[in-house]
Amino acid sequence: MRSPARTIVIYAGVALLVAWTLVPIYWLINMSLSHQAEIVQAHFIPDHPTLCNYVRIFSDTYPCKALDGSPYPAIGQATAVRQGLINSLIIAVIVTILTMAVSVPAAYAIGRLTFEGKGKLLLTIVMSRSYPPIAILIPFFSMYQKLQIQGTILGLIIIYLTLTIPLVVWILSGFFSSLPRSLERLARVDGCTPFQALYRVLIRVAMPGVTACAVIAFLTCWNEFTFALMLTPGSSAQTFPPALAAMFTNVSYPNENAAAALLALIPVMILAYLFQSRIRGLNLVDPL
Amino acid sequence: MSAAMTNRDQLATHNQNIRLVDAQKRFGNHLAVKNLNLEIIDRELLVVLGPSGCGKSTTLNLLAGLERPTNGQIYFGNEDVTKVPAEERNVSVVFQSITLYPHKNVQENILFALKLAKVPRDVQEQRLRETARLLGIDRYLSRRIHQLSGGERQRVAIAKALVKRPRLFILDEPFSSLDAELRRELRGEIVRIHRELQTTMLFVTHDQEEALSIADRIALMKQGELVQLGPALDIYEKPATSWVASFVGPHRINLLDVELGVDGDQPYVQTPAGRLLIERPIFNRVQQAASSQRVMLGLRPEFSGLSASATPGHSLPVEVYTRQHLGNEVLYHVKTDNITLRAVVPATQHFQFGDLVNFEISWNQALWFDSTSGQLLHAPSLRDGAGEQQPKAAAGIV
Ligand SMILES: Nc1ncnc2c1ncn2[C@@H]1O[C@H](COP(=O)(O)OP(=O)(O)OP(=O)(O)O)[C@@H](O)[C@H]1O
Ligand SMILES: [Mg+2]
Repeated sequence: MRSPARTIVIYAGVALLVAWTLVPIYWLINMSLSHQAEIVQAHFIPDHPTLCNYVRIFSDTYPCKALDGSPYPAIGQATAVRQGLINSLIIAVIVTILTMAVSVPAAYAIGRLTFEGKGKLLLTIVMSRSYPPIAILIPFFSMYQKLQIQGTILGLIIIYLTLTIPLVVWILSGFFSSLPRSLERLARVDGCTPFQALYRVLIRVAMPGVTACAVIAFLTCWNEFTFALMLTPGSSAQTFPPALAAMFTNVSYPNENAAAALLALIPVMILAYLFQSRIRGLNLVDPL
Repeated sequence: MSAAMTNRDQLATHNQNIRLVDAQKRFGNHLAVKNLNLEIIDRELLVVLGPSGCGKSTTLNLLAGLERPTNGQIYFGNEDVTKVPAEERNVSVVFQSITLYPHKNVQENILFALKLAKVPRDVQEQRLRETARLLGIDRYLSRRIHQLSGGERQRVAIAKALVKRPRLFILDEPFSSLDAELRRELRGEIVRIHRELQTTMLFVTHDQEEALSIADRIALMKQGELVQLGPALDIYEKPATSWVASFVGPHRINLLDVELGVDGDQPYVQTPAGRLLIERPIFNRVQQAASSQRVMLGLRPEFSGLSASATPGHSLPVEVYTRQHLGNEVLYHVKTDNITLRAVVPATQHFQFGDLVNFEISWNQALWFDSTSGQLLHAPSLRDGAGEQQPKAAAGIV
């Protein structure tokens, strides 16, 4: 039995943690729903809630009224933000698919098979994530200039793959090797060929880990700022994070920034919602 | 090695038997299985018994096709299956650790092999019903694996193994993680299932009590080698070596280095704790078999006794050292200046620590071993009518 005092302490702690995480988001929502004119005085709940900040990101002309009845002003950077969201989505999806296609077999081989030089291979892969990514920016930049792919989606995809694949191979290989050895053996005596044992049994059992890694790969691309800032501004391949940054520096109203930032949170929240139950299965040291 | 030859000669007549012929498995420098010759008779329940690390799991992996032998052959009947992969051997295994797919429910687990083999749906369903009834798991069929208790999981694992009607059904220490009560219950189930289904079964365990309680025959392994093969009781009564005697039995056997001698007309055995007189017939048998006067005497605690009064020449003076209650019996450790002995006595007899008592020997149950090789020299017959046999032939030593 827990004493009431203890329960109270635990709940208070949880409440504090939740507040810590959610207050900034709450403030973002609050701002994004307020009129530009209201931003100077802080209200905990907008006096005149409005969706105009969101509308203006997608359309300069859709009829939307400010508090004084005049048309709601257009956002200077709306096109870039819109394009950035689309580019980010395209890049993140493609990188995630390519990452998983390469990493799952690689992680399986490293995690479950024995072969010469396996340890060194894994070390090399992990080492490639050990330096700050900015260190490889210069060589990439000059290479991309030669190849004429700076400022293209292709260029970003290539560079993002160098971030995601090592990370995912590393996590997944540990995950594969933690699964019981007898799993494939069971599959074999059940009548699976070695290949069937991999895709009919092992990958299915590893699904929570595979899913978690796909989400990690997606978010790595979605949130990536440094490379995107250096390689894409001003081009049609600019992703969302640099577009948002440009908005900060160019536009005076924080309400619009808040609305744009929240739009970027939507895919993240959808992912979290869709995969929460699968990823929760990740505490799967003993899968039974 | 002549025993192995006769083994091989018999094979032609029993062509449904499963055989390992000179099977060897090497991992790097380590020989996990050394030239193993073992025949599993069609439809028997053979228990492979041996201490941890002796190569039991490796042997079953060879039989299931999960490992290739580095040398030797494996036959299923007359067919050489040495190079046949696991998925084509029709062997079922209940493994030592995980035995089910965590991502499938009970029914999907059980039917996975049949689905892979494209068995018609109605046959699948019928087999599922039969097997579930046999194991008493009808109620759990739609549960997820993590919603089952350890015992229920093992039942499902057994059902899963049986549903495909295997040519050979292997269980690798299936109950080692379960509590004693459940273990006893499931052992009973295994014997019952074996009787009902008449499948060839190989049950692997390191628990000699478990082995004795279910086996038709026991194959005893040590360090990758077959030490003894035979009916369960034979292994207890006529252990091929002193190692077997100390491994198999409810209590660890007392092993004493002794010397045979004759004083006038009276044969005796000189133990480290004193001199014991012995009858002529037993003495003669042992002496005939022995290569020297020094032999090893094996006294099972369950056939030894303690008494307050001394019978000179037939008991050893000892001091009570520790005591362990076993229900209606008590296991005593007693000691002299240089040896410790064990004896099991009825709980009605009561001794205190430090009591000076007499360790009583029952010569009719004593085992005799060569003091250097440890090979059995003489074992009395414990069963009526069995007669005294040459121990080596009876035990089928390889
Ligand atoms: N894949 C392997 N690589 C190297 N050595 C191995 C391998 N598998 C088993 N061994 C070794 O072979 C020996 C026999 O192993 P095995 O698993 O057959 O023992 P076991 O009798 O089943 O033991 P237990 O009762 O503990 O399960 C052990 O010494 C083990 O270390
Ligand atoms: Mg084992």
